Amino acid sequence: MIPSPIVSARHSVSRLLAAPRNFPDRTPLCTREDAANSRPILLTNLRARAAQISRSAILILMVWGTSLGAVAADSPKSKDADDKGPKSAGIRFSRGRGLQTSPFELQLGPADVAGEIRYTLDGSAPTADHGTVYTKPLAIPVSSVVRAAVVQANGTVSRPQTHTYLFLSDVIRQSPDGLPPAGWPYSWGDNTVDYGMDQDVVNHEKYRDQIIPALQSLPIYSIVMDLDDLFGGTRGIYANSGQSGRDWERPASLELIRSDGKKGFQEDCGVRIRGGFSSNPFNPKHAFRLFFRKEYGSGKLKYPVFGPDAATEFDSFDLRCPQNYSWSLGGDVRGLFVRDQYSRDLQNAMGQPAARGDFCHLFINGQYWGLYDTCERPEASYGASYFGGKTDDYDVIKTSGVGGGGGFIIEATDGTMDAWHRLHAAAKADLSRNDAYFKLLGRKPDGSPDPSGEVLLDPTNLVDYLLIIWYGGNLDAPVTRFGGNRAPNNWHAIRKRNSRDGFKFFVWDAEHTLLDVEEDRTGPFPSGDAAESSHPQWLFQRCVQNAEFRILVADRIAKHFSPGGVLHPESAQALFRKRIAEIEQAVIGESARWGDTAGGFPFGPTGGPERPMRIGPDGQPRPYPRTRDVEWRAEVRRIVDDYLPKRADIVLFQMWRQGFVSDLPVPRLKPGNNAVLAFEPAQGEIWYTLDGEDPRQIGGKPSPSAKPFSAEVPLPAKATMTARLRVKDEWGPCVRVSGAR
Amino acid sequence: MSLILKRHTEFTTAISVLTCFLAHSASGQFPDAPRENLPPLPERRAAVLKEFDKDGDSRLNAAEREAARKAWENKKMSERGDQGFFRPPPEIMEEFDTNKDGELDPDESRRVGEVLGPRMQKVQSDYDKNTNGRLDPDEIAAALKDIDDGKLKGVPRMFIQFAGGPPGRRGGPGGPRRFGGGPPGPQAPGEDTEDQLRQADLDRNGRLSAEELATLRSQRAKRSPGSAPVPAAPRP
Repeated sequence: MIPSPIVSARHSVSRLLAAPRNFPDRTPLCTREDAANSRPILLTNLRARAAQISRSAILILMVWGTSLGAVAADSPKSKDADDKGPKSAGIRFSRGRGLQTSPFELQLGPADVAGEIRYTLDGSAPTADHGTVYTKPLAIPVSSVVRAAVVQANGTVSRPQTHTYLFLSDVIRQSPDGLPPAGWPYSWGDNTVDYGMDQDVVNHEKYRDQIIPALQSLPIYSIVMDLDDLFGGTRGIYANSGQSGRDWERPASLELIRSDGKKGFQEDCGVRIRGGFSSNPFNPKHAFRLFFRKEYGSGKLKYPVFGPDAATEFDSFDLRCPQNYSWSLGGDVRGLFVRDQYSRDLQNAMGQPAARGDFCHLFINGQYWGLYDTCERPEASYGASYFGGKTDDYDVIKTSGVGGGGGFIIEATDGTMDAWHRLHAAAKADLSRNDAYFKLLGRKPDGSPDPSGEVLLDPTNLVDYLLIIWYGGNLDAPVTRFGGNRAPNNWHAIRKRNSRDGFKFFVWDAEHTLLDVEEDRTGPFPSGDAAESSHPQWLFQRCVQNAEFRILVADRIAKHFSPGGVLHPESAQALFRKRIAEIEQAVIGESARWGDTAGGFPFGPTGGPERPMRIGPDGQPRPYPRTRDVEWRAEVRRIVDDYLPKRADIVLFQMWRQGFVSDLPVPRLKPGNNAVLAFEPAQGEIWYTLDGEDPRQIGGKPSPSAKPFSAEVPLPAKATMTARLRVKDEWGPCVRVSGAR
Repeated sequence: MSLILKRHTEFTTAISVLTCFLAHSASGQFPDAPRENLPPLPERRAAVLKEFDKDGDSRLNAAEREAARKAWENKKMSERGDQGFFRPPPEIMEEFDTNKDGELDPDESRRVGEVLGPRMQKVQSDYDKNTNGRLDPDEIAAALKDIDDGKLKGVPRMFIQFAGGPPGRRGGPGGPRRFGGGPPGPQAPGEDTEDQLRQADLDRNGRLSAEELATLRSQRAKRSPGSAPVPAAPRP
């Protein structure tokens, strides 16, 4: 499809199509089904409107539209989406890919298939009439990407094989004056252009001995592709970063190079620009989404990208990069780089499903592109990997770029919206009534399981999800502050149909976090009543009308904020410090590559004073780079010394003010072994069970198996004690102790 | 050190970005603005207890907590949603907020697009005298003068100003163009880096060969012999 300038800003599209901010019930100009199912319909509708509204007006509306971070709906798969591409010819490379320290000669061949070997060194794929015919070993004295294919006598071309060779000693000198590398474009379409390693960082006495170890400190991903597919004015995804969907996916090679001696991989894939707001052309550093399809390669990436405890096969994953509050986007002094990852880590640490990720360096055609992090995608394939079944079994709901002045709307990116609509409709009932509340959970009015009931919601997951949102002070999820708290954004939900699992929620794009320690995102917010703009916080606001749900909320707060809990200051610090340690050295690389980004970002001040200036190689004033030891460590210190120590108490107060936090304490165990339990004295009665049941029955009476605690209680090895304090008719939060603790 | 380049920004894009910028500034609601003057937590807690601790036991029991929750809910849900971080310039509100409720309703927003978009396009076509697809400083100055003289109506002045770069960046309002978001300051005509690159690109293929790069670097060194290629060490 020929790119349409009319839709080059996808946010503009979205905002034209959906209901304006303050009127959630307004009929969108385009139906959700249109938007979710069909890019051509989307374009048709848009063009009809765009005939009347100029691009500038669209962009103006974009501004008054709301949020920062939507992703437009993908276009449907093309007919040949699952076609198999050509096969590899099995060309032997005499040198394995990876980090190199001295020049070498590279021999290509023999191959498994007879024919002429052609190779390229510019990232493009060799074809029958493109590339150099291999006749003798290649000298590889510097960082290089070598792609080779066999051209058979009948003209058939094998799938290119790609090897990246990186000499870090020359990587740190790439484009030392910022001029494009030889053969690279000096224009990236509408996108801001930024090349090179800042020699003021590389040569500085603090960093000169650390810069190469910094680049070795993380796994390295290498994307190799035709530069025109990235930067070409008409087809380059980087040059047209605001475009989205399958039409803006380009073939590439992806390699993982590990400096720890572990085996990496090479797989061919499709690559797109990811992100919403951050995909604007004023941002020079974009994130990527990788798709492993048969038309490119084997159709799956088979590698434990996210570690041994995670899935090992992938249809896609993301290479995220810090964008909001980053050095590359306006030189924001608050560049921390772990905000989103930290929220995902918190969700994982709570034992909830989460989008895993780890930090890495990225190279594009041998050029260092900075600090990135991998990210699982909470989609149907994720569900199949972690919850079982097939991808067709899942409904995945997320916010969509197809929203408008009223903010984004939600859509099913896998499966259908049907179950979500049923959940939304059911949640509109008077949930203070147990029958209405338990219906969401597939239970009978008395709370007992109803085999014929449909489980639509995982309430524990919902509460945990929101505790992370509130703890991080997330401004942009699941309700976006940037849209006047009227619109949903940045949340995913997954549900396996025909199972006893309700919708589970995923932290997503949590960049707007860890900012103001007093930030209050507990709401409630006047949004979500319309199904198409609903969100998990709306569900919470509905459910919290119910006394049983409030008991659950108090329980989860007590669990996560108590000593040992994920959001307790000590635990939260430990998790944060672990991520900081992961990138502490690597940040030097980011500083050299992107620390001197001066502008492009149009939103004015970025959290710091005027930047000190220096004279650049072009004789023009340039800002000094952001560096690890100055800006990054300052922001880390702010989080470690101020935010994390204070935040738990502040959020607890915000929740307590709303009645979510019980003033009754959690029963505290006396120190001792776990075979015999005893509680510290408390005002009131402690009731406990040893069969896993809650000592409090639904409605508030003690459960039949509950006993009042009076002395030491032997705890069998495989038993679990569940205990609560009871004062008059009020129950405090529960504590669970396993015999195997 | 990296050099930042940017393709010449379309006027229309500049308008939109200006709007973002202004909205940001006008709202006073940057996410990085810390909440000040909040009393210490114990004081805040005491205030809540004072209102809801009916039995005076210095804690909230279940019934008191529910009363607190409902009161907070009523308070928050009755608040009008704020405008977020983005707020239209006053000129826009004056013209398009027809019911004067302080917000742009859907129909009003749509009207903005329908009216202002073509109006801006006309500004571009009328003032882009050298038809290079952008408004150069002299063209911006002419448009601003016409606004001031009352000859150009219905166009927010700041939209035009922004064509020269957002305030505080890239030369400031109406200032000389700096592509690539460089720091504030004057830039001599012909020194635009992208222009340099284009001139160095002898075969006009959009890329510089090693030879073309060497020539460019040599020319630069002659122009600024003391500045390239390795500048002074970073600040402490």
